[in-house]
Amino acid sequence: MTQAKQTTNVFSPWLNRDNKPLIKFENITKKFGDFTAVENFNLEIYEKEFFALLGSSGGGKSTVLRMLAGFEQPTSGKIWLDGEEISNTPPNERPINMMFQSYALFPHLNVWDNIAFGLKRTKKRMASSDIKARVEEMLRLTQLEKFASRKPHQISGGQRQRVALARSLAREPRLLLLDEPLGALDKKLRQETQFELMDIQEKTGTTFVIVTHDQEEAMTMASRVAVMDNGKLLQVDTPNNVYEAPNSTYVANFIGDINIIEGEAKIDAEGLLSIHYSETAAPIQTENTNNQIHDGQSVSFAVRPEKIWIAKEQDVSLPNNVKGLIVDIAYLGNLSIYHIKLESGQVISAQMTNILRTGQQEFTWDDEVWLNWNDTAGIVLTR
Amino acid sequence: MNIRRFTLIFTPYFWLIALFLIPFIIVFKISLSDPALAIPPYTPNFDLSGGWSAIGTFFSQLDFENYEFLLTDDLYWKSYLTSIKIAFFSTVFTLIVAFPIAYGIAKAPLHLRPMLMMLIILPFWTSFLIRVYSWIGILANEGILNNFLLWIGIIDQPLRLINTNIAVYIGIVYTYLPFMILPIYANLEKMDSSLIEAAEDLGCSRIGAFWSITLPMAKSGIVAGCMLVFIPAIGEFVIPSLLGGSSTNMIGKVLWGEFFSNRDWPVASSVAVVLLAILMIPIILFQRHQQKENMNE
Ligand SMILES: Nc1ncnc2c1ncn2[C@@H]1O[C@H](COP(=O)(O)OP(=O)(O)OP(=O)(O)O)[C@@H](O)[C@H]1O
Ligand SMILES: [Mg+2]
Repeated sequence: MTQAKQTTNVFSPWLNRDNKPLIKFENITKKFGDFTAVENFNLEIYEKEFFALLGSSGGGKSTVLRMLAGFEQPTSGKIWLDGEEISNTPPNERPINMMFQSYALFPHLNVWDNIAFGLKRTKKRMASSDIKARVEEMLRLTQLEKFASRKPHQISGGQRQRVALARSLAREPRLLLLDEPLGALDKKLRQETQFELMDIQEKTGTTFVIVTHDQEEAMTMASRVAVMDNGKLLQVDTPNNVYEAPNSTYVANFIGDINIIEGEAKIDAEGLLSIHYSETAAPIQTENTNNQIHDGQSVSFAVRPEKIWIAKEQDVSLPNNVKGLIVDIAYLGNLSIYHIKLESGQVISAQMTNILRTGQQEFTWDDEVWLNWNDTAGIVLTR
Repeated sequence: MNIRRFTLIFTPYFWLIALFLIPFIIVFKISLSDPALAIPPYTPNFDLSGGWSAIGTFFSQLDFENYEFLLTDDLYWKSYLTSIKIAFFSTVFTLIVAFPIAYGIAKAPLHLRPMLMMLIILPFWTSFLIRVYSWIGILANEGILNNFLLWIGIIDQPLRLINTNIAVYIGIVYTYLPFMILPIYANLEKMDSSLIEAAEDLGCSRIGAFWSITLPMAKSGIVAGCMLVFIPAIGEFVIPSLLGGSSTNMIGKVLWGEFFSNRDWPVASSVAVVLLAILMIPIILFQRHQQKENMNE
């Protein structure tokens, strides 16, 4: 939580109530027949943001993006751009461009003409010398100069992706929509491209809204992340807050790995919170950050594997100290993940960094170990 | 070269030689012969039993007289021109009718498409002759169409449709419509709908996106369809004889007349050879186009 307090001079326009959002969704619902794809959606996106929409497949992310682009009309509610309602404006009249998941490059046009396509169709006709200059600028930005005269099928997947980006940026949109822009790239290229995208976003100062179902990608690139499930918006926050302070078990599970222990909340006379999850084990001691919790409520305690450390010996001075048995070890190179079975039956995963290059790992299968975590390590969730 | 590869490569050539080259050589040879009252009705005949000298006289009797004859009578080149004209305009009309149909089917819900395709192909299941005959019943002065138009009062005199070029156009467009629809449909169907959305996103109106994306992308289908209609339409015989009037002199009708009324096989053959030469032009153009397309792909 200390992180959030430091963000005063970091880019965070959403914290200032005086700032007008660039995009505002107001009670947007979208139905396809009887099926509700997006339900009562409210969201504000600010200028120069790199905004990520995250969620499982079929969650409604693309539908939200397509409503922004103008390919779908909301069933009810309003969409505002710069204080102007655009809910029913056709796509060609919105200062918004989209980079398609399939790239949708025009196969009969070469790279140059693909990029110039939108420039030749501006409301105020552009002079051909201006078009030429702009296309060349885009080619340079995306490092495609060498491929200008090639057709889309004559270049690689990564290059195609950059053509799609150049084409959608060429018209200098107020807002750029990217629907899983890196989905078709392999892992290495993806990571490189993520940084390229961030770089380009910074250079051009365009507001980006990106759809992805890769949480790492969202965490790397985004200024804020919105998590969607079943057409509903679950949480909107910075990557850091979504990770460290998820507001529901769905979000907690969706972003990274997490241990979830269900139990009953007990609040003692001093207001300290403890969670009773087993008849035999000592209750979990944890900070009471959520004031909504009342005594006796059934809650979920969520703690990330990297916040648990493993020790050989018992240490009663720590707030949480539980005995368990190592049942599984996953060696990932930089770190190892241990699955530890508690005496109460739950299996907890804990992460340890592999700091030693050689020699025996400290723990092995069937070792009896003690798990420790702070009273600030976890978070108590009520839904 | 091993025997399997040889068979594989030779098979298509074998069919080409057996079904195209040999018949063509025979027709070409007849076109260089003279008519005769005999069976077959031309001389000379190829006769190996006479030895080398007979083969020599055989070749010396062949000449290009019949081709010269085609130039002397304006019936022939006028018929060629009429055929080209009728084939050209029928192709254009067929395209105009076929494109919206193909587009409609390509945009129809997925589960309806096979059925719609079926409806397009269904007419092939009845005889071509019967279908052309039924048009006589529709277009005749006392036909269904005229009766209907008279009944609703749009006209008070029956329209003269049968035995005119209009009837020929209608017949050709009707008969060849599926040949135009199929390649265009195949082309439009595999087109990614997100391309249209991308075009709209980049500032095109609906109609603009159609002109700058859909149409250029359907080009190879359109070209293929036009070839499939134009080439057989030029040599069409049944439709102009049944629906056209005596003034509709298409080259197919002339050809038929030479063969069966005049029994002048040599002239008929030369008419056929010239027709083939004329048809080679669009076929070569088509090939060039295909090649260019392939180079781009
Ligand atoms: N045109 C449509 N007609 C009917 N249902 C649709 C249509 N478009 C989307 N849906 C449905 O709406 C829901 C949300 O779809 P959407 O494409 O927005 O999901 P998504 O979050 O982008 O998923 P993914 O990660 O798989 O791309 C899905 O259940 C989908 O089947
Ligand atoms: Mg999607």
